[in-house]
Amino acid sequence: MMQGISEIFNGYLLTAVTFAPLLGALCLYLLPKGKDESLFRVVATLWSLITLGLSLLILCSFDSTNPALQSVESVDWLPQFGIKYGMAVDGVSLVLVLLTTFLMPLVMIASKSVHDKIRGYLANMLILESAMIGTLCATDALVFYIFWELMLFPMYFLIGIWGGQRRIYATIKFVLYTVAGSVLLLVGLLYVVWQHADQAGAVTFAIADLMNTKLTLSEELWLFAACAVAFGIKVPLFPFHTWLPDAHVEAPTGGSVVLAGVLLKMGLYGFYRIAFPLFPNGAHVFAPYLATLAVIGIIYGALVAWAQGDIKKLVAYSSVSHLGYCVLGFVALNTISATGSIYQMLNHGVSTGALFLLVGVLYDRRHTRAISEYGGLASKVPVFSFLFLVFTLSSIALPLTNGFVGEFLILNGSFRVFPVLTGIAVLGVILGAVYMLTLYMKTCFGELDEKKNGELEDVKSHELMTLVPLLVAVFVMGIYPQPIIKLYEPTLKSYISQVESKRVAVTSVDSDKEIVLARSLALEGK
Amino acid sequence: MVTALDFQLTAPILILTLGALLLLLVEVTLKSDSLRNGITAGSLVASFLAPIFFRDAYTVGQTAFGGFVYGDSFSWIANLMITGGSLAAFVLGYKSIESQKLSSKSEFYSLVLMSIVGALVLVSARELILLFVGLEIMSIALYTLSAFNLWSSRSSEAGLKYFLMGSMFSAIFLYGIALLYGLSGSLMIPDVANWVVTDGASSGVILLLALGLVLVGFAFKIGLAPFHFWVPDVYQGAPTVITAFMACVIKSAAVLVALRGLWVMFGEPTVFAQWADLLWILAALTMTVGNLIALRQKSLKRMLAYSSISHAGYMAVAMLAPGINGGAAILYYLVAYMIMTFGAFAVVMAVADTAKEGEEGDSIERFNGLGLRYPMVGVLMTIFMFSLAGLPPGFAGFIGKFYVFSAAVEANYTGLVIIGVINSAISCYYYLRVLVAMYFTKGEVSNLNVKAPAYALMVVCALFAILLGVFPGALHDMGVDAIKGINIPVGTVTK
Repeated sequence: MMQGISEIFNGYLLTAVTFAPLLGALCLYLLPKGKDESLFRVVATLWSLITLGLSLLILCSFDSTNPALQSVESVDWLPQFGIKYGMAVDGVSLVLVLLTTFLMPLVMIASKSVHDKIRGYLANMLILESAMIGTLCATDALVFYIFWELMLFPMYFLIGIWGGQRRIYATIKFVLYTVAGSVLLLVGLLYVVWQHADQAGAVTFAIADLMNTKLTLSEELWLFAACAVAFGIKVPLFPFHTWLPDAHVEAPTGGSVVLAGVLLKMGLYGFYRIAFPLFPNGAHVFAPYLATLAVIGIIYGALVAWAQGDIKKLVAYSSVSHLGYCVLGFVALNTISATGSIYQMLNHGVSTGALFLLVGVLYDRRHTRAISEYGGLASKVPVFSFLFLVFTLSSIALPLTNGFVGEFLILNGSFRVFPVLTGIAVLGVILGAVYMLTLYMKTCFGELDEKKNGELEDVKSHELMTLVPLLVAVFVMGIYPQPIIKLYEPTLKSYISQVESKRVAVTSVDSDKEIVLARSLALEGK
Repeated sequence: MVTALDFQLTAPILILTLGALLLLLVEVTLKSDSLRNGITAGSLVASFLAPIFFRDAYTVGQTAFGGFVYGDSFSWIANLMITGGSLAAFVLGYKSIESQKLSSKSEFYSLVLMSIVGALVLVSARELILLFVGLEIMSIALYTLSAFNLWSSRSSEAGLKYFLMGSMFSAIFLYGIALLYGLSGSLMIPDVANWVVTDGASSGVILLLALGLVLVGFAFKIGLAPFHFWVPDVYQGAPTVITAFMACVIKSAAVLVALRGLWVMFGEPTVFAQWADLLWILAALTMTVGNLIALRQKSLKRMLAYSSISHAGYMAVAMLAPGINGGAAILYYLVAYMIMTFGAFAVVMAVADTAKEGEEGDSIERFNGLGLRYPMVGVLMTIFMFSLAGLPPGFAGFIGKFYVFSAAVEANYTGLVIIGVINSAISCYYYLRVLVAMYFTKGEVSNLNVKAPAYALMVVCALFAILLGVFPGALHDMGVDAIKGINIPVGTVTK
């Protein structure tokens, strides 16, 4: 039956998934104005559920043993430049699409705490979802870039209109940082495209074709650096992370969830989709530096998180730390660490998303996020405290929770490539436990201040609706990760061997001085 | 021997000249607003439709009036852009002109039509003196128009400043033409081009001087830094419709004539190499100066003026890539730029109307809270601002930048493109500042009343800004077609 439904889309299932939320956003504006707020919320939730359903259809038709791109769609768009509207998914992009479509309905439900201009809020969320899915599915460099940039403006409005006190500063910083990074990416892509056109005689923007461009080592280094800045800002990699705490703190709850849950992953996805396959030699040279920055991010993020007095800021800095693990695992580029890296991206989406929702629950009631304002909540709001505990443990990677699987795989795999750095990164695990448990202790244990928190209500039903799916995900992913890993492991394996083979292949073709250097580096890596 | 073809190819010029003269007659006989508007609108529409109607007359290598006027596809597209832009300016402004205390409205319209005639002559001229005459008809009408707000000292200042600087640069330009004539013995552009191809490389410093003077003349009209000083003052002082008209139509005319003139006459590779560095510096300076100063503007009109300077800089980047991709990129960019600038000016004008007597109409604070109170205008302005910043969802602006930068990378100007994209990132700040005011700041403007024609123009511009970006192929193909016919000296045409 599933096959039957997929056939309706006549090979354009990915397009349907990508643009369904956009259609939903239009739909919101067709509804009569001034109607009951909850109507908008229901419609938006419904559209995000439809998108979730459609993305499950992709999952059904996906052959996880096949590492190639699947559900390929391709339509000529700018034929003069060989630009096609190209969409496809492989294992990695599929799981990230699923993460996106899984989180969005929860965000829509959580929008119950937003009362001001609810229609615009939901519409921006839906547009953002379209842009994110589009970025994950694009196989053409320009289409990727357009979706990449398109992610900016809904987030800009989400923070700017529905954000906190310093929202304008935060949102402009967010946009400028991201744009500054991504324009360099555009130049890099154009450069590769024209190099490729000179070599192959035809202009194309298809990422798969651009991989065959022959570049000298110094070109690759420059191009990889341009990409690394663009994607590093998005991850965010130390020292480009300073926009993140501001954006997170000022963003509304839903915005934070999406930001942490999906948007940050786009940076690493960019490394996966563009930077590594196009410039494998550049990547190889830069990998130790990236790993170093990642480890600095892990430790620095953890230490700064420890020092925070604001819960949301603490969780935001913990993101810097957690994303550091993902980068470390990915740049180590072996099957185990990269598998862990992708898994950790999903984990982080689930557990940090949940933590932001919980912070939102507290903030809605007390309108403060200062840790010192809370204490002894366990006795007053037991359900909240239980959920908070579970997600805290998942965030510090306790065995049987999802976080453990990811971190273990990352550290295990990276140790073979970067033993010293991984050794330092392990310290981050301990620090993670320290700051998260300190947070939990300060907020949920100790004496309850009756005057401040005596009236605190426990988690309401709509809040439970958003948190329970995440709770289930924590345990399912922690106890039985195999089905998810199986989805993307074949893709990752062939991806890694492809990147590595190209590294050797390029260095053995040319013979000028630079390339000799590249070859010696490649040998040294063996 | 004058044939029907000559008139077909110059129909827009003739129609508009006739309209301008009729308007002067109306002024001394019947002083009727509707008649005035009717004549102006009629001649504008007719001049816009004429090239479409006579499309077949415009063929490769076609000329009119004994070779003095170009009649090829490039000329066709240039005619359409100028008359189409003028029509948009009329739609944008005629309501506000009606309500203004102008001393003589017919003269005003007559001068506008005259400046369009000048612009059309400028872009179609195949002979350098005719080209200069076109330039002067256009400029003298504009000097007067910028000073037309008799009661505003800013306007008078703008007129005088523009006149003084404009005359000086016209003289410089003319001197360049004189040198070219002395060198090549002909004033026909193709003859000059032939001479440059055969003898240019060996003629030494005189040619360099001549082309430098011509380049500076064009740079002044386009508003390339460091010849841009008149732009902000004139743009801010002139009546806003005229500002929009100058920023879109006149700038397009200047870019179009520079594009054809410079590439055809001096596109020969060794000669091109001599002025490419100069243009490189002009482009880099223009983008940077325009953007950096725009960052600090409080008046939106002035901000758009500086932004228009920086956009000229982006186009100058593609001018470094003589050939099909570079040329088509500039043509596409011009259209996209006109669309988004007209849209932005339409909003700025509507908002300026909410100012009471004695208030600054174009300050950015007028936009506070506007987006939430007037969602439709807010969305339209958002599209224009994103488009000007070159970010999706203002797709036309993005694709335009893509074409321009792509052509420059292809021609190996990656360094300049890096400067360009960094500028483009900087520009986000001030375009987004408008959105910050519209959406993130509380404000009390509540008497916004957008007139129907201006509203229609905004909607059309926004639709085009999106459609041109989603389906850029058709316009780009037209650009390719136009550039193919203009005979850039062999060797530089890439792919």
